[in-house]
Amino acid sequence: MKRRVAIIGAGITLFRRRMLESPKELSFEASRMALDAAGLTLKDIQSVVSGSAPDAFDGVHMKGEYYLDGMGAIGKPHQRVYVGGGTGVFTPIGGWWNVASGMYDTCLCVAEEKMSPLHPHPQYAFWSIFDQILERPLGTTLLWIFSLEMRRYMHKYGIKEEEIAEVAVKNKGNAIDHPCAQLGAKITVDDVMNSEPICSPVKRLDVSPPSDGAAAVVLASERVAKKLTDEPVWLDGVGWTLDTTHWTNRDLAYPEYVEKAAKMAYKMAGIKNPRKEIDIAEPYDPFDYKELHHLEGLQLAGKGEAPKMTVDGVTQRDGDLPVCPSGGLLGVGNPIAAAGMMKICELFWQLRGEAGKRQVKKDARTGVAQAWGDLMQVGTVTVMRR
Amino acid sequence: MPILEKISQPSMARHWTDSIPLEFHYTAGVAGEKFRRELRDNGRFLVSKCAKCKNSYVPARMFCPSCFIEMKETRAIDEPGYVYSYTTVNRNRAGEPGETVTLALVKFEGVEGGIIHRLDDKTIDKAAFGIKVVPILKDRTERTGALSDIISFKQA
Amino acid sequence: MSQKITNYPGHEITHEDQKERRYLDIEYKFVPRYSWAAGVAISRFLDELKEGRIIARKCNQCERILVPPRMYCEQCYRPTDQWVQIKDTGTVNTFSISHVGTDARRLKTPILVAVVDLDGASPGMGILHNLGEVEPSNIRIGMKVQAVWKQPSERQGAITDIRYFKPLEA
Ligand SMILES: [Zn+2]
Ligand SMILES: [Zn+2]
Repeated sequence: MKRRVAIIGAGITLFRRRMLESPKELSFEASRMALDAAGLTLKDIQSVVSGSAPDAFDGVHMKGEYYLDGMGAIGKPHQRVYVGGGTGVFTPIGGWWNVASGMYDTCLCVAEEKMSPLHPHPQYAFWSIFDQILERPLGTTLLWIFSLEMRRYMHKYGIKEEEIAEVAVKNKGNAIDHPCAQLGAKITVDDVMNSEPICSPVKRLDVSPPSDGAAAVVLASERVAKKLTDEPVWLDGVGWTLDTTHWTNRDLAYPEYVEKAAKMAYKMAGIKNPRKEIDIAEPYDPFDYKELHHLEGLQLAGKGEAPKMTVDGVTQRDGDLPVCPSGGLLGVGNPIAAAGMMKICELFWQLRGEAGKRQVKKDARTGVAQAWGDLMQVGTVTVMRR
Repeated sequence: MPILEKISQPSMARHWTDSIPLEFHYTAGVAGEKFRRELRDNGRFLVSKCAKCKNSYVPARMFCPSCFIEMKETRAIDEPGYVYSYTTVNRNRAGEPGETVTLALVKFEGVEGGIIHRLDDKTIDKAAFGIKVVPILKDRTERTGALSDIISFKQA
Repeated sequence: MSQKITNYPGHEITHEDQKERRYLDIEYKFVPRYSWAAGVAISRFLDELKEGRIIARKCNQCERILVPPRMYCEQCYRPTDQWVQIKDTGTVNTFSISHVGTDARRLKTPILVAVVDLDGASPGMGILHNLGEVEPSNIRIGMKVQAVWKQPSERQGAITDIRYFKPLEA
């Protein structure tokens, strides 16, 4: 029988293009802050789950084994979970298994990414995720799959680039209020439209920046959580699924794998009408159109309808469904796994009413966080409640 | 049911050869930066000390892994180290016969951790557990703060 | 607790810091070489490319014709049944104009990229490839295209035996 799991503390470092801290040190800073927030010391932690994207970014093989002392995992049951860009939200899901199963009462979940070591650009490592025989010889870059998907999405539903640009404007604007943000800025749709075309239809301001950073949360069983805090945030639903790497054989206009993951999480959390029952969302937004794609996959907008919702202001912080009030990856930055965990931290603070200047207007009780990744094939989803 | 159609002639099986070339520019980290500067400027190893458990660590670290708190206190080692263990390698990284090198894990009294480095030719014959060793350093002008600032360790 | 925290940890290294070499970074190059086995399906696929043909595999249960070919159907989870020769023409499913290379450096001449759904395979069975002999502004989703092959003597059993896909004259 599964047990109810709570988040009782969160921590995060600055997100920057390049940080002095080593991967261990970044992990330590985020973990330490999460433990302090939960009022715990390392001795109180029974297991550790870590998340980090490909080893090729930090440039350390067996990264999970290397950074674990920064996560307080020496001599403890530790596992590294990995599903590419979906890793950040998958990390607390891994922690959820530890606690919901009854194995442990406390679990520290840490996501770390240091993308800056890779030279000349972190983009380069993504080259190796494509098929080595049939795709890589064509000179692939990660931007290709995004631009191909964005174009197909626009074509299928008749969406304009200007509508998509609204997401970049909103998220970079929201990020101004995030103390860790790398690219918070007041920009306009015209700025996005006039920014350098890098892989059309993708333009420079449609894209989130590569970053270094770490983020962490502490999970506890219901019994322990109630002893430690009056304001636990419950991790009431988790879901994750993957599709095939034969991505050129799939419908690129709709992320079915996100829908499946969302339905799994909603079922667990007892959510029947997501659009009515979800108050706040942190979908994965490495590119502006991805936020829209994912809102549809998460059943928070009908197919092809997320752009209109955005243009109408529904997804603003004072809107009916605030989306990426943190500033998202577009504004706060995209240290891959840490960026997904940043979304978990944001919902934790929002649901407890501690988000300060970022606090959404409505009384948010239920939130959903989602990440995406690998060869555009994975959805990871968590439902959180106060 | 298994896949029945197989390649029966080995010459029909194709291979694709390529590489994934990567170049990294690592930061040394908060503690690593201090360690490297001490090595470059003064030719000494920097140690961090935990205010709580009183353990010391080399190379210097930012946090104590057991107390999980930041370590602010540092000191440089002046005393010689000792050979904790050693090995002689006569193959290169590709596994082919190569230069013979004797490597040692050098530890320091009362300090956790250690430094891996080569022993100098004269010390190799005398290599034994516990012998006292000191680093042979490159000239200050050639030092960059990398462990290659040390040419090798020799008997003290 | 977000609003109660005043100091978020971390030390930024700015672009200028890096240019001025204010920190003791460590540089390292790593060039591992690999020889990947193409496997049963792709070995045959590459052999056929060398002959100027595109081959697919059919699953008799779901009746899908799969390209790139695979020896098992990932949906029915059973071995596929037969080889099927398909056409070297198709339809642009989606496309992009890439101004950046593999390492994100800017290119002088953009690469035209597309997912091409191949004729003779099941609907939506596309492959990734390049477009050529077309103005970027003239590319459209739904456009019919045909493979432009290398000379037989230049082919080596690689995806690049097809130089690119060009618009099919109406
Ligand atoms: Zn200590
Ligand atoms: Zn089938």
